[in-house]
Amino acid sequence: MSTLYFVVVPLLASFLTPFFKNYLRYISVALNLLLLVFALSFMGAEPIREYISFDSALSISFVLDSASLFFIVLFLVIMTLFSLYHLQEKSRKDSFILTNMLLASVSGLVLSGDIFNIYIFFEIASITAYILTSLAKDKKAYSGAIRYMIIGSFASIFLLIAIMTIYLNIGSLNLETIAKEFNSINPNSQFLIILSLFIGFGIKSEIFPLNFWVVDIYQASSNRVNALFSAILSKAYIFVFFHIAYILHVNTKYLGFLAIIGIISFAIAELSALSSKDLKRVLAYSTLGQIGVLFVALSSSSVDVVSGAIFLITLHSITKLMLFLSLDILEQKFKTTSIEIFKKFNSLFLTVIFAIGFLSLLGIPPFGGFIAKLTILKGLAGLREYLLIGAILLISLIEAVYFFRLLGSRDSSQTKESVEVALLPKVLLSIMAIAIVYFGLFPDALLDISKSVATSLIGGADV
Amino acid sequence: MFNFSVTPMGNLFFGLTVIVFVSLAIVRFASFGDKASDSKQNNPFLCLLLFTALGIIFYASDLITLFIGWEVMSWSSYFILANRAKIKTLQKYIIFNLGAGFALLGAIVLIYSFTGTMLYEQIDFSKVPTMLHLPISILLIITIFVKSGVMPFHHWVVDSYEESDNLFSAVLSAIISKAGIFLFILMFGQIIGIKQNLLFDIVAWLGVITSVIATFKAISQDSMKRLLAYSSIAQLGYIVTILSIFSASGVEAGLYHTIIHTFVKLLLFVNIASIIYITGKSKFSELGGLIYRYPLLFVMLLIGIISLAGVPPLAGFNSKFLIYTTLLEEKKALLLVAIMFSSASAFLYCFKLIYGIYLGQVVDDKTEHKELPNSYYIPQIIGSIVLIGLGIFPSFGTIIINSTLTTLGFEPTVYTSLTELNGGFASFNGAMIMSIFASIFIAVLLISLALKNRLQERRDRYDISYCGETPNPSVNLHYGYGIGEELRRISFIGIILRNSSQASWEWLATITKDSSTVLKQLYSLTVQNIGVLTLLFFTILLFVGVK
Repeated sequence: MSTLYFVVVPLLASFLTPFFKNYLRYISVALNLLLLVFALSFMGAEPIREYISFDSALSISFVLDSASLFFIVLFLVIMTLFSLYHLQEKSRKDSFILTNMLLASVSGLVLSGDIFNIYIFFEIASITAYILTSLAKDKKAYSGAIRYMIIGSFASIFLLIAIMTIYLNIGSLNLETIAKEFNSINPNSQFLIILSLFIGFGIKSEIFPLNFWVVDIYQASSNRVNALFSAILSKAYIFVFFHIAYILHVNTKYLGFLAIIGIISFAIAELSALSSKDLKRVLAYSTLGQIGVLFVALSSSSVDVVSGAIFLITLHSITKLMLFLSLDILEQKFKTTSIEIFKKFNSLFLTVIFAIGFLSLLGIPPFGGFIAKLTILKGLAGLREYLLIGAILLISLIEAVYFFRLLGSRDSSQTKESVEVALLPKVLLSIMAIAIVYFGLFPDALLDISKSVATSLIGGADV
Repeated sequence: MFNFSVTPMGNLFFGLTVIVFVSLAIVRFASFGDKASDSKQNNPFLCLLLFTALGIIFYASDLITLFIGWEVMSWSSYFILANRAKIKTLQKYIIFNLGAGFALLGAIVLIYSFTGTMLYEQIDFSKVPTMLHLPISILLIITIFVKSGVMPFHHWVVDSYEESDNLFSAVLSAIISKAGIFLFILMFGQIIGIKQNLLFDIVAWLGVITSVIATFKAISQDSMKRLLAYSSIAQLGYIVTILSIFSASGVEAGLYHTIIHTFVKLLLFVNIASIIYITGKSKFSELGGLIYRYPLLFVMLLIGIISLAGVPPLAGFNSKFLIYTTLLEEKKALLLVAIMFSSASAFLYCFKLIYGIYLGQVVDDKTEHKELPNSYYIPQIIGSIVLIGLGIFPSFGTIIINSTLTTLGFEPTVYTSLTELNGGFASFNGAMIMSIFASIFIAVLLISLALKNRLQERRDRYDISYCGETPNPSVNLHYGYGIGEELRRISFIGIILRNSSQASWEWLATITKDSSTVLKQLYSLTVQNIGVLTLLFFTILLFVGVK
């Protein structure tokens, strides 16, 4: 019953690839479900710490507390839905291996209790992401993958600089030890560490001004890969970044800086989405915007606002998965993702799915996104951050412009091609849509969970 | 998570909603067999959703339930509009209405952060610091203005009314506009507690200015639905003005006018919808002289017109009477003059409406007239009965409104008898007026029928000569649609009509679009961009870190 299973089992399962070439998709579903059940068995338990020690200062530690457990459960749910979606096609070796590696690496990221372990899983996740980008195997995908690799390498370099500086000054790699000693080291080193961590994680967390690469990479990858990126990968990096920030008890002025660039990121992303002509880019900009809101909320050090952020993470992951998979269905029919296809398809089911997805992203009742936004705004009002509230509402209005423009552009007079949605995607998309509506109407259970996750996240090393 | 409670005000507004929706549903769904001229049918699910949303708004007992209903109303009416409206109209609609919704959310969140509760009864507004009273009030007023179409937030109204389905325009005008009124009374009356202050004086003047300008714009319209749209804006301007005088008589006058306006607009829009259904035309320049074929529709429109203009003997006068007496009581002479000016000018568009469609020269183009399903008469008959009934028994409205007044903490209005309406220091007897009018009407009718053949010679309309030319039947001699063209030449009014606040909003839109194109450059992966960004970024970081 070790937490290591989350990391080790998917990696080991990849070795089954040559033996079960045609059943890989079933194995994938079974694996994810098994791990999900395993994860749920940890609920309510005390936080677990495990060490693989060589030497106490250099030991590898894994910590499973309510925050990391929540994220592991979330990622497993998304992965299960994702692998169920792939049941309708032939098994592919490359996607099987890569999704397993992705799962292992984000689980490791979330579970790690020492900084070098974080770096290891950071690298594995990054490499998996680069290869996932190139899965479509065309020129666009390869060039996107190479660009992603170059930019991601910068992130790794800065993270290494941070780790080196930490080790040189403190002599340990364990997060809890670092937290105790952090305030006693030289302020210039502190600043260097914080700056390098910010650049390193900031590039991967897709925050302004380090997110210039995101939209082109999303355009180069296929829609399903984009679903994984926005639903799982970016959330993992964001969680680890804030986990470290809260554990190190960084000065509140740095957290204030994060809030400011969060709101700038939201503004620029939504404004850029206004003139976008490609649906993939629109969804990419929307992801960047929501990540901006997440930065604003997560940096507020208040349990109410951070619980809203956790709620938003859950809802956003489900919504983006739903939207990217629907876009995938459209792309298979129309072979392009330009905005024009939104006017041309004739499918009541897909229209409703897109409507629910867009309205939830905007934070409009009665969908789950509204509860998330409301919790965040209520918390911010309690902190008397009126400018942030006004900015979020104003920018959401801009977001509304392009989403409603998409929904309203479906002029009935144009001839439309009907799109048949197979049973399996229909069922999966409906489950996700129903979940979004459910969390909008009955949010209390998820709100309580978010509160406990938030307390654990902010509490940091006090646990 | 939802909290509801049945209140008199909720009953009043929801009662109006039920009557409007049910009568329109009968029209829409009872004409099943034939393909209506609106060939794209409205989705019944969306209409039901809108109805539910309105019920949620009116019966909510906490702020979040109210907000949920408000937003569902906004987006469900967007999708109903999207059936037929053009994208530019839809964009205007959603930007204004969602902006109003977010302003409401901002106000709710601010109130909650100080009072700690969302339930109406538990909110103690004194806990909100005085510094925030003005911002919260302004946010709420923005919401109310957008929904009620008070200038300069009215730009979404006219195009939305014109381009929506004909029957849905009735819903927009009769009920959805009243949501703003409901919010006004609820927020300022019940939750915030009224204070007469400078803000409400400004609101009153904005309402009056709106009604004056909208009245004149209505007169010069060629499309029937646009005329009624501007008329709705004008009438709602009256309501907003009189409600900002937050006294017992002010609220009573405002609520009375709300009730009357709902039924008047229901009647008028369904009448227009019938004409459009029959003839397929929606402009005055293409219509005329339909009284000979459809006298019943003419009578219905006449009842609606007389009520809209606010003259005795019909119910429209009741609310106008209350408005005038309230303004006199509160000694607001300038507001009274302005409202009287606007009411008098309203005669012109009322006359244009009835003359342009039913009277004057019969338009002689050879289009086939469709047969009107009988269900179209039902909302009109309901409206006519209510308007005539309230004309004879004006205090019936007072009874309905009194329970709302007591909930708000006002003194209920005293009424002596059902037929007499008390306006504070003056009153009138509706039954007596109606009987006088009816007897004169019947007398004149009998006399003219008796003297029918001796009073006039039959003449042909074309029996005129002008500069030596006689017109032939193809010349359009119906001057009804030209009413209002000369208004632009009157200097004061012409200036108002020529200019518009639309340019300011369009400037905002252009700025946003341009900044969007510029900011998108940040996301392109060219080498220069990365270089510039890195430089910018390190500068900012240095600046922050040096602190």
